[in-house]
Amino acid sequence: MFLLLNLILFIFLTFSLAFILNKIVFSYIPIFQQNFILNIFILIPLSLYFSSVLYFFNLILFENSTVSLIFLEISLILIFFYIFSYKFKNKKVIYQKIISNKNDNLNKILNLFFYFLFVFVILIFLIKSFRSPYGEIDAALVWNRAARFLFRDSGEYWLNNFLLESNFHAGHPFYLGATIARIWTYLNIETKLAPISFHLIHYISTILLLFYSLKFFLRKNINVVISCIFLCSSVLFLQLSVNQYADIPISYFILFSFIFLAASQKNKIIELELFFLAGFFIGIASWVKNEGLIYALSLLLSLIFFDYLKNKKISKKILFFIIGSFITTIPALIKKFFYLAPNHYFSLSLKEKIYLITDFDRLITIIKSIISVFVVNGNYLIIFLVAITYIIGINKKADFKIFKIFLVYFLFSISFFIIIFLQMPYDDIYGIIKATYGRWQMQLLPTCLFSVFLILKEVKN
Amino acid sequence: MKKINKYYLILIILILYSFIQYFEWFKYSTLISNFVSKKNEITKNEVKKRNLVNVFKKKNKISIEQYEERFIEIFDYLPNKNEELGYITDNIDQKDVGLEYMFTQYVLSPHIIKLSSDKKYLIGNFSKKIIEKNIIEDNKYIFCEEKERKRNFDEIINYTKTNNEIKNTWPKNKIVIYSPFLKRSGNKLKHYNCIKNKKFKIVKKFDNGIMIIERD
Repeated sequence: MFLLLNLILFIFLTFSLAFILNKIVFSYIPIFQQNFILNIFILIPLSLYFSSVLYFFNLILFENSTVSLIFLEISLILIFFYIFSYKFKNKKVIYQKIISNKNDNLNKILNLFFYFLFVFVILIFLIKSFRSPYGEIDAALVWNRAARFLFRDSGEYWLNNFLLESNFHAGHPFYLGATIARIWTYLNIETKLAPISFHLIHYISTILLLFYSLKFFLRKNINVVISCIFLCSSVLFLQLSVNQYADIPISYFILFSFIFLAASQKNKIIELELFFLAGFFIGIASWVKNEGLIYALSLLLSLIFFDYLKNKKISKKILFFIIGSFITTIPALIKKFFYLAPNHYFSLSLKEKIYLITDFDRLITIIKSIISVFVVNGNYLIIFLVAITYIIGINKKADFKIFKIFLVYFLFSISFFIIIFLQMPYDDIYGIIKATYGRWQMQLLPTCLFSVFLILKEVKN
Repeated sequence: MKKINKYYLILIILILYSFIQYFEWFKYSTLISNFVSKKNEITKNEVKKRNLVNVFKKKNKISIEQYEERFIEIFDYLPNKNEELGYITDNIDQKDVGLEYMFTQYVLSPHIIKLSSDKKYLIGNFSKKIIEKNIIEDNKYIFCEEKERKRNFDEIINYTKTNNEIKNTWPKNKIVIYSPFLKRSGNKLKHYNCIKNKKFKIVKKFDNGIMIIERD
């Protein structure tokens, strides 16, 4: 009975926050508001972000007291409700109709195929999660282990987390750890269902987010369905989710950020707010995984690059993007600076650090490894995506801005990853790159599909 | 006609893509191979719920579930959580030893388990042979005590070669008790000094090979 009441309280707080966030966030992209239950589901990861940050601060300030956690969460909901009532309540929302060609035979077949795949992948997710409820080794040892440190013994010994051997990667941010520990705290049991449902929600939310965002921008059902079939068919995307890795949550926040950037191209009146939200969402990536900071910085640099090309100066919208991303990066920065974890690179002398970064032979090895992994590693995805793009054809009248931003963003992120690989003091750099490549590809896949399908022709009868 | 061809081409490509992706997955899936190997075992008359559940469950050589069970009784005997605990084993298989240590840390969180034998309390993660033959009590082992020093730069860069050299220092065909090193263990390098007749005080011993040991 007590467990049930706690479960209800947890669900109530999570959904209330998602509900009020839906009212604020989706007032900028009105088509989402046609189905508010769906919107709330899509926004649960955002709600979980806020809750995980509160959990972290509750741990620092109130030693993980459940009462103070509930108080903090209710206060946050009230603050957002206050913001909504004063700023967004009377905001005029213009709905746009989706052109649905349901009588089209191909559309029917594709829709059926998509629904079948969607059910199929969720079924596989459940079966595989039953088989390995702890996820893959990395997930258990890095993120779920962090959750244990946060949750067990009322958080008294969570600082032990930073005294572990460096192989446990205690330097990772707490989005996964704190969210799972929060669920355990409410339920007062360490259930394996917590990480499984967490990853299932992110998996479904990312697919739905791609589906509804493309529907908003394209208003062409077939193209939207094709892009989502691509995402559902990517086994690695499913596998990483089952493995309970942080790559799917990170892909969700990157995609959301690009959706706001794309919306800013359509609605110049609220451009500043949309840039703020784009920055806000990409900043959250830094609370999910360390490379989130790379993604935030890469997006900022690519926006500055295009802005500087156009105006020869940095405009106000970039400033809003920086403010947005800075706000959500604060928890990750606090953790990085105040709770230091063992790090290979920092333990080296200055001379050795410089040598690693500037060694030309290692740079060549890394570039060769990236190229070889790219060519050898069974890139069906890229081959098929190129084939589909070729068959559908590129719409020359489409706005290429988002696609261009994505390409530059991609190049910046590769450059940062090369620097990260350079500072790794290991001799099996090819193995590390090979292991990272697939995960990196999946982190960017939803955003890649979103940017590519924005510029494709409409498939119509 | 041209349009219709284009439609079906898209459809074929999508189906082909899904098929290739899932075919690859099925090919390597342990779930499928489990089904294939079990199909002869489960006859029509004896389809039992437990059999079916076993087919679905993943069978790894070492799993977290096993480790959760293995260490479940030890919690009551562990010292204060502020005390760093050491870790020793008799497993010299470098493939599994790191994983075993990491699972131990995961299961015993938030206790701190260090890869060291130089702590007051040590967690002994031994094979059953050690318990059954009273190896520790009867002093029938060689204890390899590690000393740590900072790796020099060449040793960091060429760590595979360095690790192989460390492995060669252990006595062959003997029961060796030691605190292992991980494949990539930062800037620390271990040197082992192997001795006979090193005595340990057993605080608690479990039948499955787990021990809490106190050092002098």
